[in-house]
Amino acid sequence: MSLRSFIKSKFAKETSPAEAQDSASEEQTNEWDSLAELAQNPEADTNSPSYQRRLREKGLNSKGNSIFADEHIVNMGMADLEKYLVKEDKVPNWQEQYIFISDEDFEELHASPVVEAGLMTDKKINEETAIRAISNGVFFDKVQKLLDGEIPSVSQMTSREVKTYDGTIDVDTVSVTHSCIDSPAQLMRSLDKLQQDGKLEDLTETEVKRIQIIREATGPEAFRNYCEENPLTDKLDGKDIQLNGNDILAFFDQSDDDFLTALNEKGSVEGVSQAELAKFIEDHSDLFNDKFCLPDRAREHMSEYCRVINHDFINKVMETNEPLLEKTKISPELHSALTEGMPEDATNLDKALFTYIKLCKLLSYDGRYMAGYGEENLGAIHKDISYIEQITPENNRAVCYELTMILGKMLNEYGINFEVSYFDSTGHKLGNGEYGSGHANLRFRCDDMIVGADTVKEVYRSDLTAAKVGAPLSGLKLMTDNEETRARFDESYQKMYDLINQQETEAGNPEAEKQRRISEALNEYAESNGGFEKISLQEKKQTLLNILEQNGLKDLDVSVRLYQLFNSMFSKEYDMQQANISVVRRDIYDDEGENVIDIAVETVLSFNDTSFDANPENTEHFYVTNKSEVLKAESGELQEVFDGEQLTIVSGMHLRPVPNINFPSSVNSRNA
Amino acid sequence: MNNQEIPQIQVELRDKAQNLAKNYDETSNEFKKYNAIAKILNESNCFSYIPMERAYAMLRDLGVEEDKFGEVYGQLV
Repeated sequence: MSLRSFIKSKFAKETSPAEAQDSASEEQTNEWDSLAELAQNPEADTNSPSYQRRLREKGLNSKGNSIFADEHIVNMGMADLEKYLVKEDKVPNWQEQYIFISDEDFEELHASPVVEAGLMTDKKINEETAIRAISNGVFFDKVQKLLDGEIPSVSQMTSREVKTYDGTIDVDTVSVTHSCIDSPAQLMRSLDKLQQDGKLEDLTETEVKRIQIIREATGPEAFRNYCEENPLTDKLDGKDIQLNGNDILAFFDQSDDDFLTALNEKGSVEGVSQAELAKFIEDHSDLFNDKFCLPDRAREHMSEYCRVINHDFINKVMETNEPLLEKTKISPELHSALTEGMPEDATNLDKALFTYIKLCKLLSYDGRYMAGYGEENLGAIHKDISYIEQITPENNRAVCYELTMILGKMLNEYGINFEVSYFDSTGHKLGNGEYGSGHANLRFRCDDMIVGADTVKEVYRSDLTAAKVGAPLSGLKLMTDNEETRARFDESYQKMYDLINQQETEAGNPEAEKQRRISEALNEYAESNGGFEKISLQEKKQTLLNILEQNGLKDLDVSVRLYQLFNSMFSKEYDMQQANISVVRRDIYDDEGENVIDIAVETVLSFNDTSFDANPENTEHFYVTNKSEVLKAESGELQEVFDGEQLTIVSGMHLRPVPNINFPSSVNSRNA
Repeated sequence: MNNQEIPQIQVELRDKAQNLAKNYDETSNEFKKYNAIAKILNESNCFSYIPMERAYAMLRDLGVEEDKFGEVYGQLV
């Protein structure tokens, strides 16, 4: 008798799933000995999938040890879950959801490969879990509850986890992190994939029946029945939408040709636009992807529809609720300069982009504020909303707060909704941010586009600098990957930028035109050149130091000029580990040495032939003053002056601190 | 472009690029290369906006000796 036949005759009883589950523990007791004896048989193929499934049926892992945790662990775990989960009322039917497994089993489960069965990426199931779902009664019992909607997922917890609970369970995530099956559809697809791969041969009748139960509960018929009883609802851009799932399925389960025609002819389910339907599908993806296995054709069409139809704007920036809008006053001079030359037939998007580009052309960043001089001297100015009215093309120094509100005020004038956000120095959104705190920017909505606008995304390479020399702008960000939408945005952006540059040239400002010519010629040169030879770090470093020492940088603001030069000389091939430029603030005192009367913004250049982190002893520092003088500085010396607060590092917004120097917690990180 | 706005060495290099371009057919790659270099060097302050590798490549194409690259680049920026 072959092993397979033996196993089949021994365990393939014709029992219902419920019977199999009820008798699981009894079978474990009665049959284990013979199974163990079988495992000792040198002829037994203990690695065969069917043999392994018989072990799982008996609640045993591949080593023949129990899958499940001891009873006292289960009791402890249940007590912990009750204490920490239920009181928050966030995990419904938690008692039914959890399976407590042994530590050894946890390792085995994690070693099992994921079944690559479907389109989804975040709800994959591993082979071992899928097999247990049909082979083990305890697991299948949970699966049935999942199919019936009684529990949100089948979850497992190890005895190790139970023992280390200390009352700090994150109730929002514990259900997710412990879940092993949270999508019935994905379980069904995983089982189908295992069958295709020949990993579910010699199924017992019980297993076959269990698969059938899962298939029927997730199939198109179950979907239809569900939709008959449960109309699907959503709220899109303020409208209450109700659709029948069967209408949606009928729309997407067309032939490829019919679907393509519908897609191109603005086809949708009756009562909603294409964008609304795409958003509706996305909002109900749990139903279409996780709960039911819709026909592959329908699912692929849905996926394609959501990819092609831009719906990223729906439910976003639907109105303007900016509390400071009324207090924001723009000077007539600035208002006139921002709108001068705007085409009469400009669309709302044209107007928004035209104004953004003009804003960057006209205003300049107040570098002293970023360098930390602002708190006691300029803070009163730049944190006062009423100062905006004093900003003109002549008095043009501003920081992010004013730049953001000026743009917002203009957008509001055009009837475009916007939202202002404030961020801390690490880029995290300040929940209760207000004018003058952290860094400010905004996003606005033009028809089917959400656009982020940040004129000083990077202070030293901001759009305020780029726009003045006609370089590409980086602070405008269209919030969609949709190609058609992006093409329309790019067209409007380029049209407005070219128009403004042309107007500047005609008005006698040739700088923008010059930049365009250089850029074009550089492209031509790159096309006719086979490649560019790498230049060593040492050579670049020496060249830069020679330039500073022999010629100096003839510029009012040496730090800005040096920053530009550094970035043109040290490209990305020398990452942060080998070459670095840092900006520092030095206070300038009065003759008595008591009061700060001004500040100097200066720089520290650092180089390392290998790596700042790996070989800090090889790091060389050069301090460059605002008069372009170069002072070689040892790490210890720099450390002393930073510790003594004679120098303050300017960090944040892509400005990095000096490598191999420890900074106190009071490091200046003003971001405006 | 007013020659007074750009350093003398840049003027000399630009003229050299223009002369070299004349040696080639207008459809050739060499012509396009030298013509592009001449156009770049015809602009004041052009080296502030181009990566150092490309600047050195232009110096190489114009026959500047390798050991003079740093010195010439320093004068150009």
